[in-house]
Amino acid sequence: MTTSEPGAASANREPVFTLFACCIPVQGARRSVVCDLQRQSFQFIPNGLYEILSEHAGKTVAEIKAIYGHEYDEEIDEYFAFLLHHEFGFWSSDPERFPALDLAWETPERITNAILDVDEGSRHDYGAILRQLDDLGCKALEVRCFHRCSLRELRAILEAARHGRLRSIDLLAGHGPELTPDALEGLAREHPRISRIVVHSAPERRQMPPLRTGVTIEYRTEVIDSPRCCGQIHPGYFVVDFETFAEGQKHNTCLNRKLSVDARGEIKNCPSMTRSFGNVREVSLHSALAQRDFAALWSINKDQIAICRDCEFRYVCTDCRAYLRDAADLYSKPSKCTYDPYTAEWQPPADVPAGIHTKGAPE
Amino acid sequence: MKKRMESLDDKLFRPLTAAQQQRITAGFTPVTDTAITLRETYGEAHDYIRDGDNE
Repeated sequence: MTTSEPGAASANREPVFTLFACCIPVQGARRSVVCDLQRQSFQFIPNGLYEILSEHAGKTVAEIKAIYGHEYDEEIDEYFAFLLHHEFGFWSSDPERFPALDLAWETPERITNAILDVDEGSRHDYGAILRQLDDLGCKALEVRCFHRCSLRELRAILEAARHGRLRSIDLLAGHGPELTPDALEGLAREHPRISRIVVHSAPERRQMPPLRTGVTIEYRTEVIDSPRCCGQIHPGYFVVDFETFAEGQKHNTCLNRKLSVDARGEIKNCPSMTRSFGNVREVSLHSALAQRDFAALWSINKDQIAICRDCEFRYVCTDCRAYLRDAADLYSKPSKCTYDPYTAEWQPPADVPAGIHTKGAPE
Repeated sequence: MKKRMESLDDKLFRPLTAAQQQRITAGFTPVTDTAITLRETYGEAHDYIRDGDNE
């Protein structure tokens, strides 16, 4: 017999620390993180610990301490205690039995998510748009109504989505007298695909308790009257899960497989972008998608973006390619990101972001 | 190549607080599948927890 079963020879081997496959360290310029994709959280770690977990993976603690000349024995013990405490891994004499996750990202849908903007001047044929999105396999839709909405109008949009394959609808609507919590709860019950309702321009801020189905209804005082409000980069928007992490390895975490129809019916990658691939009244979504450049931005990943490539949050951050620090450079950092990965500091957000203004405040 | 091993007690490595993670604007996210994933994993009344074959 020339080979032995895995583990047969391990009895005499010193155990080594093995990260759970779903706990993946990501190095930043100043610090690193361990992303726990199963628990959907992350913890900061020093870059020294990242080095131990990456360059010295598979080595025993004694070997690691020796590599550093026993100068950091105390810190190294602290590191492993930290990893165990947060259940990021375990001791194993057989680490080869625990391979890394395959981070290849694939999906059968041609479009996975879409944005539909609506204002008082919109003349959308909701039935036609929703049917086409359905044909493309779209799973998640965000409808953003910038104006004061009536329930009838919202119902017209939602009715068009009733029988398709959509799995979630996020609804943003301008406050109107009809949009009471009871009415919106009723709407959510009528349309179980609704996952979230945000009412903007409300007289007061109010967060309703989540419905039993998990739907959240929120009233906000900010006036959101254009797509310019989008593109915020902030920990509140980070998405720590396997799908986003895997998608972010090779694709853009905002634009990949996204299609948008702006308030005028222009088909775009994102409503905040200027380039149109035709108006939805004249061009089908399929034809727009088939145009050569439609998918050009889908593959811009964070490892290619200046500054972001040095950020520890790069695989959990939902990027923005519409508002850039350098508008002429598609590979520049999002302009609304105030994080500096070289100092690990967030700058205070610049006043009120463009596109959002508080009631009564000048535009 | 040796690197300085910083202590985890440094403020740089403290977890973000809830306030630090609170969304700074009107609170709608770029559309991703994440909302679905989160909901499916914490919801208590979804079909996936039922075993249709054995009901």
